[in-house]
Amino acid sequence: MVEILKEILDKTEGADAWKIIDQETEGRELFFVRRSLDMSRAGKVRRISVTVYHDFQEGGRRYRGSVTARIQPTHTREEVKRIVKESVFAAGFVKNEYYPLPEPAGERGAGFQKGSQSAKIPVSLFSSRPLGDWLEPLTEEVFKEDTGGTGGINSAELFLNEVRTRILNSSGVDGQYSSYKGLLELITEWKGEREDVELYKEILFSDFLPKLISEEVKKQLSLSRDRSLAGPTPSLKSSTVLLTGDPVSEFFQYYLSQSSAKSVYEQLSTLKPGEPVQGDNIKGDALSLKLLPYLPNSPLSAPYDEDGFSLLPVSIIEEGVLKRYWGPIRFTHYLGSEPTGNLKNVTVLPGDRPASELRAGSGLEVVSFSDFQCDPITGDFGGEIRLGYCTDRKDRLPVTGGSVSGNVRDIQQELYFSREVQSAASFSGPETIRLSNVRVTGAG
Amino acid sequence: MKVSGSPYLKERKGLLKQIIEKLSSEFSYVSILATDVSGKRYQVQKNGTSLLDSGWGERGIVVRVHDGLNYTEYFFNDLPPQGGEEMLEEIRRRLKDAQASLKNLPVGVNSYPVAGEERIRKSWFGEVEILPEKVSPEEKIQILFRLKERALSLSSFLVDVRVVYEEVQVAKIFLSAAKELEQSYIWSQAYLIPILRKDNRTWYFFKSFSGLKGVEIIAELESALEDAIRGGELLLEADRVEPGKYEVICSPDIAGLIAHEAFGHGVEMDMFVKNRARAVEYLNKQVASPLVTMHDGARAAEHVSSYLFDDEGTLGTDTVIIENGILKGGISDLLSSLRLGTHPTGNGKRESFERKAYARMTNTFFAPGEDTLEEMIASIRHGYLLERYQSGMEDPKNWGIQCVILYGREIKDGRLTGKIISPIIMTGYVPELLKSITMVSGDMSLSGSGMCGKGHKEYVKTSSGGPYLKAVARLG
Repeated sequence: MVEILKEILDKTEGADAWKIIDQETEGRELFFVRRSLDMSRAGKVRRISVTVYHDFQEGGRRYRGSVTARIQPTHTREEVKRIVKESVFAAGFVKNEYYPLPEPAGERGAGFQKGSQSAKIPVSLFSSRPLGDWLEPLTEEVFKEDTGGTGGINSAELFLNEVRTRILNSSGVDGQYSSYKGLLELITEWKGEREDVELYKEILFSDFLPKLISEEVKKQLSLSRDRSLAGPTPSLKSSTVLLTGDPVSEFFQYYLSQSSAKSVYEQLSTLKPGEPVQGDNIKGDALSLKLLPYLPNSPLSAPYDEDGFSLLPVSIIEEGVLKRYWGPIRFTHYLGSEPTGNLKNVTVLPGDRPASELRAGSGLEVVSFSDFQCDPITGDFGGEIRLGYCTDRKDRLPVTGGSVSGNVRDIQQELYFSREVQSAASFSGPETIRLSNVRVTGAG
Repeated sequence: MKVSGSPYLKERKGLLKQIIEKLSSEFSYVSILATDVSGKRYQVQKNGTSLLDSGWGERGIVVRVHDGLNYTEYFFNDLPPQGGEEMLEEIRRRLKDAQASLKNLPVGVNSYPVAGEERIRKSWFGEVEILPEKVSPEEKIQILFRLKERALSLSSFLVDVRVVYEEVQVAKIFLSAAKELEQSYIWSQAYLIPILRKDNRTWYFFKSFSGLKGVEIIAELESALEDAIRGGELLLEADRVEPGKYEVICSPDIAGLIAHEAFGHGVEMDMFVKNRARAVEYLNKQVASPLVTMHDGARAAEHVSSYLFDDEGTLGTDTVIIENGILKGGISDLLSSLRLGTHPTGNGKRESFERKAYARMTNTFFAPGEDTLEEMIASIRHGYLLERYQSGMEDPKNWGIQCVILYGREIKDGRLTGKIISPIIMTGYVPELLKSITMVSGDMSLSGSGMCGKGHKEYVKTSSGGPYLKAVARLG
């Protein structure tokens, strides 16, 4: 299909440039209710998308319109011709400032990372055997720590996909790579004296790392036990709040969004390179943030972005100062900024204090939210507490219910990052962060 | 204008029937869902325009078989018109491979009965005022462009306005030994998103529109433009709420969010199978104020999740979940009903042919009452009128609720003061919140511009809504 598509694109008048993404995914899925298999699924799906670019001038300015359409493997040659023709026609009404497409690594012109190559992505262990062969060891990992008793796994869903991606464009880019995307949705439960409770956890992976899943299950069981013992969260109008685990990565999304070329071009951010991202008078830890093509066990690791741009590690924020914008070539080009590509893995430099020091004193540490969110535009953050710990000098008591809320901009001058690190999915960074003057609404 | 069926599905139907017939000699149950969903998403903003295939698009097939013990599925999207025998072999091989790799799993296997089916042959083709193909992409972009230009002239605080229109045609066929079902319909959605800046801080507002509609939905954007911009300006002066419990009036979209998160997810009956739903303990017991009646169903309302049949071939219904405060029942997919010995309610929905079917909501709403919004405002000493939801999260086991709300209007001594609070996180214990409802307005509306996940995945189209509700809620 890709060869037919290329041939049609080359022959279609007005298709001044193009991009094709061809992805084939093979997947296996297991659904468990307690320690029993409830259903199994398998599948093979091909997705092809084509972006057609049409260049035109108006009032002496150069524009590049584009339309992206899906091509189905079942489309006939005539249907593909019609889709391409209609896309070219419609692209003439999409009036965007001109921007270049990526060129092959090593052949880039002025403004590109000349001579650079894309990052090397290590091979996943999953590639050594057929997908079906991994179901048994993965299932063992899931249930290893589920030994019965007061708590256990209520249900789990296990997905393992192999994705083969090829990205081509009319400038000569033709890159391909394979990746593995694993997901375990885990519900653990605990029978409490007052009520039975559960906790939700999503574990993403791209490699078979012995004990990774079983250790996470063990941790979730322990947290579920604590939730069964939890009392209502008290009201704390303005408090020290620690975030531990998953919410940490969501908190940093604000900085990622504010430093993106797309946000700046669309006027959602006013940050400029060389400016402090946390304000002028930082009392706590200064943020250092990098984007990486490859992070061990990240399902988002890739040598190219969706435009076929070859990706390399890039430092975005250093010691609290914005070094450069990041994002797809279109937006970095608009801002006259060095292209970075659309990198998906984030790493934040940890702090030098142990988490135990951050926990010292009174406050609230939240380890599980219903759905912690940080608005990438306004910086408002918050979520309902599923499990937290209220600490004072003597005790550390589990609490549940109520919510945490605040705005990143109001508290960013005094953030502290733990020395201990976490690595989960596409994020690597401090395990715990401490925020001051955060609003805690009690559950009572 | 009548929505037409999918030529692709029509062409493949005979082949799919043959596959079912041949596989039926090996499996005690075989069904096929074939989908052809397509559409376009138009977005115009200050610095650019985009035109993409809708993210809701899909075209593919899922085969479900019962292997004597339970159900297995194989999904794919490459079915050449002449590839019958070859494809049959591929499906057979994939299903057998899938079963073989499960032999040594260190767990048990749940057994399911074979689905008994009535013989049904039905079809449904929706109607819209203006079919998407009747208006060219150029015209659509120009209308959105003019709206954007007009909006930008309305406030000096605006840094951008996003005007979005999305049209989606859903075509599906479901085939089994007893069933031959076909449906095709169009839904659309549109958004106005003004982005404003003051004192180097950025805010955004939104108004959304949705329904079983075609291009005619764009006219709704036009009439809401001024309101959307003024709504955004309100946020510039917003304060944070003082955390605590308040009397609140929930606008229809917030009422819908409560219906959806509080009880909708809690009565999805696959949660009953897993013993994850506290609702089981409360069947036929009071869970809400006697003023509360709540429905869900593809046939309960005409909105974005109205259909003839679900993704497992069960006809859509209207389920009364709560009647006068008493929990009456749940919503079910086919396999959960087989396990529980109940009737499926036509709520078996898939994110796409690639995903498993789960018990999911369709159109979920509180029924109207007899009060007026004015009476509700007049009855509040200090509280808030809550408007525009951003997101929500369920907790079916422990009945917690999280609703993120864009803003609230302060009410003092029975009057709106003009003071705005934003954003708001509303949390609470579901029965406590629903039992606190003391007034219900006579008017109601539904909204379906968002999407609903199960946990943090499996996104499907749903609508939710209701009347204005007066309740007591915890805000932070």
